[in-house]
Amino acid sequence: MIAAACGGSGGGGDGGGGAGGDDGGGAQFDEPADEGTPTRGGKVTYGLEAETGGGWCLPTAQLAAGGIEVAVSVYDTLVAPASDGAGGVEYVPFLAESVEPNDDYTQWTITVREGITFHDGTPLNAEAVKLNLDAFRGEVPGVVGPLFPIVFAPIGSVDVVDDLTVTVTMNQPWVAFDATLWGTGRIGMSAPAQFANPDNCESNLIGTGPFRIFNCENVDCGWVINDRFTAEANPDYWRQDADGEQLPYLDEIEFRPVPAVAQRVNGLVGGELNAMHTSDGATIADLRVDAESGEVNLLESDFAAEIGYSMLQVADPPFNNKNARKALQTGLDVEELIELTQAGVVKRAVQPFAEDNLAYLPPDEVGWPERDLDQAREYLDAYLQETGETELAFTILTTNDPVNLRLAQIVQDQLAQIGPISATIDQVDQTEIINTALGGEFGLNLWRNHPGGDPDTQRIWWYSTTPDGAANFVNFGRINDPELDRLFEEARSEPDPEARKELYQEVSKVFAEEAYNLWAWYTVWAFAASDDVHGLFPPQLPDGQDPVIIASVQPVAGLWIDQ
Amino acid sequence: MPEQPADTLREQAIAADAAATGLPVDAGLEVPIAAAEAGTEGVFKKRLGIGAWVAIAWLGLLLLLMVFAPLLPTPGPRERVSGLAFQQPLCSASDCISGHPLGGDTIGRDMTARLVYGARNSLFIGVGAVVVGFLIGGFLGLVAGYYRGRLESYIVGFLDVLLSVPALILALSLAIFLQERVQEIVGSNEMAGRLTLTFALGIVAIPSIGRITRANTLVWAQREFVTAARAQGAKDSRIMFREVLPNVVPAMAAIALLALAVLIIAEAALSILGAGITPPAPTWGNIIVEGFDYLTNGRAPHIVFEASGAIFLTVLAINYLGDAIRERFDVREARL
Amino acid sequence: MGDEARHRLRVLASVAIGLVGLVALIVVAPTGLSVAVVAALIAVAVVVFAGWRRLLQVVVVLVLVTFFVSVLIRLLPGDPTDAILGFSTPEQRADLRTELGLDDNVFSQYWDFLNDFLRGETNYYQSSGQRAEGTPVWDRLGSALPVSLLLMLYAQVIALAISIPLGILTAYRAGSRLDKSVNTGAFALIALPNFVLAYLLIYYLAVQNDFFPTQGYVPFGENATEHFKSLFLPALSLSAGLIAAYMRLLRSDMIQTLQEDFITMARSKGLTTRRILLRHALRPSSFTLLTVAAINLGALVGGVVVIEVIFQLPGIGLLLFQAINAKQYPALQTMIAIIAIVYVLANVVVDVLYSVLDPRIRHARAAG
Repeated sequence: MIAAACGGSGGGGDGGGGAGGDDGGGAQFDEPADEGTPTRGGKVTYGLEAETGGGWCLPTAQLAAGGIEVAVSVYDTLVAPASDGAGGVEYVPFLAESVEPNDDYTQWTITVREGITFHDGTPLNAEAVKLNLDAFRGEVPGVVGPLFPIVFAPIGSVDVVDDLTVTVTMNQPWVAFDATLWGTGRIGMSAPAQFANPDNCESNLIGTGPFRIFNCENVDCGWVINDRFTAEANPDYWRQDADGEQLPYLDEIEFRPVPAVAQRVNGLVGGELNAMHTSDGATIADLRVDAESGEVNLLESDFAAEIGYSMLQVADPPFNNKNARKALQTGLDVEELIELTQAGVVKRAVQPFAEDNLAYLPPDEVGWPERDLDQAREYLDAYLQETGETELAFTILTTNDPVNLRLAQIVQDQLAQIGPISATIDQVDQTEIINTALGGEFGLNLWRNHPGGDPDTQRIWWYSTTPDGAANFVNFGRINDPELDRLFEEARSEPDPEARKELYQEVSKVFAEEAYNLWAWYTVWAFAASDDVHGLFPPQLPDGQDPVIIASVQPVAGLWIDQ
Repeated sequence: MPEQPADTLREQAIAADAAATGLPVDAGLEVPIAAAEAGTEGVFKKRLGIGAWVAIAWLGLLLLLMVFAPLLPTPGPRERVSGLAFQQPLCSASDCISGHPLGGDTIGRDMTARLVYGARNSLFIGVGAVVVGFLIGGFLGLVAGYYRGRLESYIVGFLDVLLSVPALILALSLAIFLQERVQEIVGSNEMAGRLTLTFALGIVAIPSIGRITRANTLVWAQREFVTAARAQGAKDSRIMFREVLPNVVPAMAAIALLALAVLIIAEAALSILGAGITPPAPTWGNIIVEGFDYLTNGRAPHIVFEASGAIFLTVLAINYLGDAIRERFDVREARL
Repeated sequence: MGDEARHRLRVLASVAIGLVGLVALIVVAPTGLSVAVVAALIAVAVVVFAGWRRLLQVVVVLVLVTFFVSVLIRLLPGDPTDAILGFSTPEQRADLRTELGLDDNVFSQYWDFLNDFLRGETNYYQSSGQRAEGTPVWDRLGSALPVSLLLMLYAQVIALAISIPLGILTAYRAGSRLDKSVNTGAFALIALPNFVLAYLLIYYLAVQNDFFPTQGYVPFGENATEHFKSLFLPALSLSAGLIAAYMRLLRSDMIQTLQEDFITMARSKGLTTRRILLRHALRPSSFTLLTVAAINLGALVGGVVVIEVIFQLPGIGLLLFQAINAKQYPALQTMIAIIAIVYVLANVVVDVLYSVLDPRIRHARAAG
């Protein structure tokens, strides 16, 4: 179930702590063995799962996994996810020096670190932060996006207090604001100059990050669409590693979009690439074998995992009919899908929250029905009777790469086993699929989204309306459920962690009952590199905390290559 | 051999090229313009010998399989067999499922079934495209060769313009731009995919077929029996269709076969370029595309090789047969 | 100046013009302007060697082809701007409609298309729907064109390198068992599609053994050896069909030539077989070979597209493929137009070259 990951923001507010069990079920990545002292210099060529056709004007961009990776190389976010020591996530200041809410979460105060400059030399100060936040809110003409104004709707105003401090005043208490402030790596701080000319904002990246494409001196920097994104090390980067060494270690990083995962692996093995990421289970199984033999260095993370699932479009026939949805819910053989397409690498999911998530509920309490073909046939018959149709017909939307096409065909075949179900496969290019989804032009959409952290960040995907009452178009499945709306609304402002937890657990139960989305598995993200590339696991955070890897976001500041 | 005025010197060379090879070149769609032959010295000579019979046997087998596909003792082409995915052909190990001599595909469907039903689709498209090409191109060529004069130069000009775009590019653009239009008319189903490709390839075949038809018509239209018919007051259309066409047809049979071979390859090429039919409906082309990743990682190369082999054998057989037929029906005088 | 010397001058001139054109395309970043310059050069050559009428023919064909391409976009049902922009505001779509001339009649649309084309202003459109602008197609073409041209060049070189010796050999030993087996091989090679050969080569030479990379391209400037390695399998796949065609053509042509009187005369003079074959028999045949090499340009272009996709070489074929997948229809139109134009021009150049070089035609014109 792979398509673009329009991941929501991360999560974890105060006391966020994961639910993880005693075995610390949260952080599940192999922390790499000590790799020795990093050497300076060299270039890494990183294979991405897709190109980012719309570019990186962050307030307006639609960034999926491939785009986020570039974004976190060129930009920094105000906060970053860290291990809270109990298997969960907390959001610690990163670019900021402190991010603090008031007592009732109606006002947050952000202070940035001193002395940080953007790639064009201008200072990162309160004015710049205000400009960025206003841009995300949709208040800066020319760079108004479709998504973030809705995400940041609870913000009433952003005010500069002094040279390094802004206060963000909310319209309602926002407990997990810092989670959204990370935004799965999307809420990076851009230099004001980048917004000055909206026409080339998407290719004129100016951030504070470890790599730059602005005014490069030694490297042929730039973005050639569908080819490469080449960036040079930022000599004035504000971070050091734990030993005080200046980051980044590399001279240069180049991102190449390689949508076909088999080709990405070929590239890694053949030497055209020396790093890559993937969430495809079968590929990860192969990479594990290569890692065993020492051919590649591999880092996996299923922490705060995204969910792979089938999204149903529930505003239009046939899936506006609950029986149709339940027929699929009880008829799909997810175990077989996992076995056939993910090589058993991933774990079954029956709720949109991973094990380490605040909202996690033990699977048998969620109320997700077991697979039962007879039950499925009953639902199907009920649907056919109610609507007078002779078959349940719809389109399956998928990207046009072989891996997903294979998955789509198996899903199609499984559904045909239930009864008169006729699903047509619609293949759309990765660059197009978000638009197609936005238009609601599908019956079933093979999707991957909802990285963990705080559950509040997922509200945007399922809430029925935007703040001004219009239909919420990023709710691709067009879910319009007053109960879900209520739960998310209350939980956003609920200060008591236990109460919040219960509200979100109710969300899972609603999904189990209504079958709007057919949750399938928790994705595992793997980051592979050739055996001379190290530092896949990011370096310590500026204030000494241990970082965590959430979903596809792999910081690259700590990569180094044997010389 | 009388010296015929050539439109361009290039056409003379095309004639020479076709004369020497007599066969389509590469996976492009350049069907030989001249069915003619400047004599048979130096050219690969084959009577309807053993080779042709083997070719006929293969094509006959293919035809049988296609027609009686539903009766085959294999699972259906969309039927997934548990555990069959990626199974090697002629697999004898203990964990192999018996009864699947050609192995399994990427999802667990039986390769034999996929290939046979794939043949149905690929040949539907190929034959359909040839038919479209002949209906339109053949008609245009016939009219041009018969009436000559201004009409002829317009038709030839039109055909030339179509020929000015490299064939595969033209096919590709038509397939892309026509797809949605066809879906609008027929609905978003398998038939739409097949029809789109049939028309796209058919349109691309028009100019070549048109020019050859014209060349052949030119020859026959100058014969005495035509002048005699005209003198007797017979209508032009009657002469064209009753007298000239029947003589042109046998020569065109060879061309039709050769065109079919080229178009089968073209369907596969279009699938590789992403303009083919969406699975699960099988064509030889999209079976190759589905299996490509497993060729490069070495896990299941048989998927690509079996479909490729089917294409190769069929094209080889058709070429052989076409060559033999062409030799039989000596159209030595047909020149541009 | 003598007749022969004048002829040599013409040959040199036409070759020079051809080379300049080719270099211009490869080295200078192509824009509508540079293509227009090259076209003008070619137009001059056409007029000088083939007359005004031929030039008129070429111009008519070019106009019709580009017109046809420019209205392809109207084949799309519904609103093409929907397909191009996806999620966008009605204003953005209206802007795009105006820019593409979809609301005008076909002729003003064609005029707009030509204008954009010559100024190199056709864009990839952002599918984020935020703005109807993008990166120009011409920039991408500039880096992609050399890759495709090199691929075609290497394929021709390989094909000639293999087919010429084989052609001479089988002509010399016509009727022998060697001849028959080579002919059978050629027959089979013609039926073998280039992509099937590519799969075989990939599997046995790149997957089972690591001799060559399975995919990817290394520019010459970066690493010469890797460059040739990355293009070898692709070029070899492309050359297969060509080998068969050239070999058989050369063979039949040479068999004819070898029967001519001047060969027997050369023999009686005591010249070695080798000298006869290479110097005297090969030369007349090279004209047909040259033209056939050019004729196969069309098939080659189609093959290049497929091979580039299979081997992921960043040439025009791959650009086309990516534009198709991303539904970048305007960019697609520009790319198709430029491929068609280059193809037409290349054929014209070959025609003209042929008329200049072929002694039979030369003498006919001199006489008439």
